[in-house]
Amino acid sequence: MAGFFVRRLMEFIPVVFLVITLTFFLVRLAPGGPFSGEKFVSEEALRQIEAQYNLDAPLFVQYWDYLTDVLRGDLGPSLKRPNRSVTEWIKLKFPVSLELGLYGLFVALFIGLPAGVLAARYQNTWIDRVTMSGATAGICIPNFVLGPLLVLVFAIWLGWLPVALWEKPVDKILPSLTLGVVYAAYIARLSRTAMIEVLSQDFIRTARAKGLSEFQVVFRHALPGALQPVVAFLGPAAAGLLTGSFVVENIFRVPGLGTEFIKAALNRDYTMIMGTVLVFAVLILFFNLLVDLIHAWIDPRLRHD
Amino acid sequence: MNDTTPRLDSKLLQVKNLNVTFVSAGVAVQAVSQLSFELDAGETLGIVGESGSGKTAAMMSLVKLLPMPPARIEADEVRFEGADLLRLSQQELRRIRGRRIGIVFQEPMTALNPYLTVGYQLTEGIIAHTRCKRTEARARAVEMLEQVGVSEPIRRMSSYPHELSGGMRQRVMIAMALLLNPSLLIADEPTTALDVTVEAQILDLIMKLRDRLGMAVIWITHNLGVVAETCTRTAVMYAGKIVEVAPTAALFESPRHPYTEALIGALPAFHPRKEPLRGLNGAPPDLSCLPSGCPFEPRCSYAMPDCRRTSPELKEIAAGRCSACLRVQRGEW
Repeated sequence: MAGFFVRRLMEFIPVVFLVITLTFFLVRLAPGGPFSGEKFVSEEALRQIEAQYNLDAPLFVQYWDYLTDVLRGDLGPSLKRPNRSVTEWIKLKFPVSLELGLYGLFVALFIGLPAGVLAARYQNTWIDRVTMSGATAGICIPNFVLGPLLVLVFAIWLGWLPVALWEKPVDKILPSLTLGVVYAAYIARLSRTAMIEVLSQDFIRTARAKGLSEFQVVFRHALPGALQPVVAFLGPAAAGLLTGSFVVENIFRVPGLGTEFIKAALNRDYTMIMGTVLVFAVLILFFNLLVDLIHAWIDPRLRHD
Repeated sequence: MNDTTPRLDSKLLQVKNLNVTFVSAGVAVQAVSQLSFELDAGETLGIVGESGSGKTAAMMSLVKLLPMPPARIEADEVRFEGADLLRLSQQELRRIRGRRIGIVFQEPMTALNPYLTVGYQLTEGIIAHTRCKRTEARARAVEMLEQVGVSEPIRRMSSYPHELSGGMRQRVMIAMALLLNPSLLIADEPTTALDVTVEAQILDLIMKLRDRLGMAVIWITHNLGVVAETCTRTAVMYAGKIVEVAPTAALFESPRHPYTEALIGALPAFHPRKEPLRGLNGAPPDLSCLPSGCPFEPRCSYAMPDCRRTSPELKEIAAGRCSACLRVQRGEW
């Protein structure tokens, strides 16, 4: 088990290296630079600023310097907001995105999974049709429509929740819902299909032949098998959720990392882009590892080590 | 917790006019029609027939183990230990499944849950029915595994099904079905998926346990050899109907239905002489549009004009023997 874990962690290294390399050259391929948008800057001053950030050095020298810095744990200063280093910015913003993402994940799981199981168990009844119509709607309505819609109903018309704040627990309800609903809809559809498949298996008939209650049949015998595709979907989805959504963070004024990432990309804040991409890459790798572990935990046939 | 139900007559199971219909996309397939039979306590009844003759559907419908919909189950009566099974509530029926009626399924590979340990799958039934403690249930499960010939039963309790061989899995299935001492065991082709040497062992095991525990067995199979070895009485099914019932020895000696005769004739003889295998011509009828006459008439070498007009019912033709053949009933065969 420990050997498996170490081996998988070793696999992180080449992937992260590849991500850094690709991102480094791709962002520099894009036209413009971090300071080309500035007004009233003389050639002289511009060259001085670039020299300060090592941007006048040959590309491969810059690349090498960046790599060695990253190895030392230094992601450099933010080019556009030099009052804080990239590491400091991430430390400041990432926890906010993480919190919102976790709530979104809860929404996705605790709405999506029961809905899917219920729909499968009562396949082709009104319960199935209502939940699946809801899921289809959830997938179709984009979050930039759903967010304002929820604000309109719950904040403006009913006045129950604030429009856009990120302080008290109640402030976090609408952003979490907006973020999680699409994922809940996907999970509902996925788990319904998987559950129907599992419920038609021979071993479910065996469970019923033993005289078990329907609850035991569905949750103890069928659910583990039905969870597999949901877990496979949740891995990459969780990474996406936790690193923050640009749209949701913007609608609700959530000071998260998603917003920073887009701002950095638009401003050609090279070091900021690199830093956020790195966080994203490591998170995806981590969740893929987690997914494999959960798969093996659920299905004994996958436990080799 | 053993048999506490007062039994007024000696019949363990009485089935009267059982019909099973599968309805999907507006098409009704009559899988079982007008099936009636009785079973004494401790008796072994063989149900034979080709694939699709409705043997499994008929027996599974007794405890409503068919997906409904598409299945529709109707009967005048399915009386088991004094209760009409089809008129019980879901909860009452659950008290009978696994406790009074045990079932061994055909495919030991797929009939066990791959996600749960053997121990869990054995004990959950005991706990559900008797509300006893987990340790007590475990002790009983281990004892049962020992009885069905599983080596190292304590270690096997924590195994998963994929870690066992096919024969071992079927032994676990049997242990599972017999844990609560049922009075009836339904064995649905329990040896079909196994190779011949293991098949013999499993047959032997079920018969030994039958004698030891005194339960009745309904043995579903398409293998006449198995029937000859195990069953006191045999019912032959064709196109969802019982066409002949007789004591097994008498059935093999002098079949009283052309289909039974053809089935026995199709058994490969164990001779060194190279005789061509005798199969049955034609195919079983389409169950969604049965002919108005005898369903076997198109393939029957004794067919007469009347066979196409009237569908013969299963009638007693001698003591303990029933046949659904017009010729036999008229005394012409």
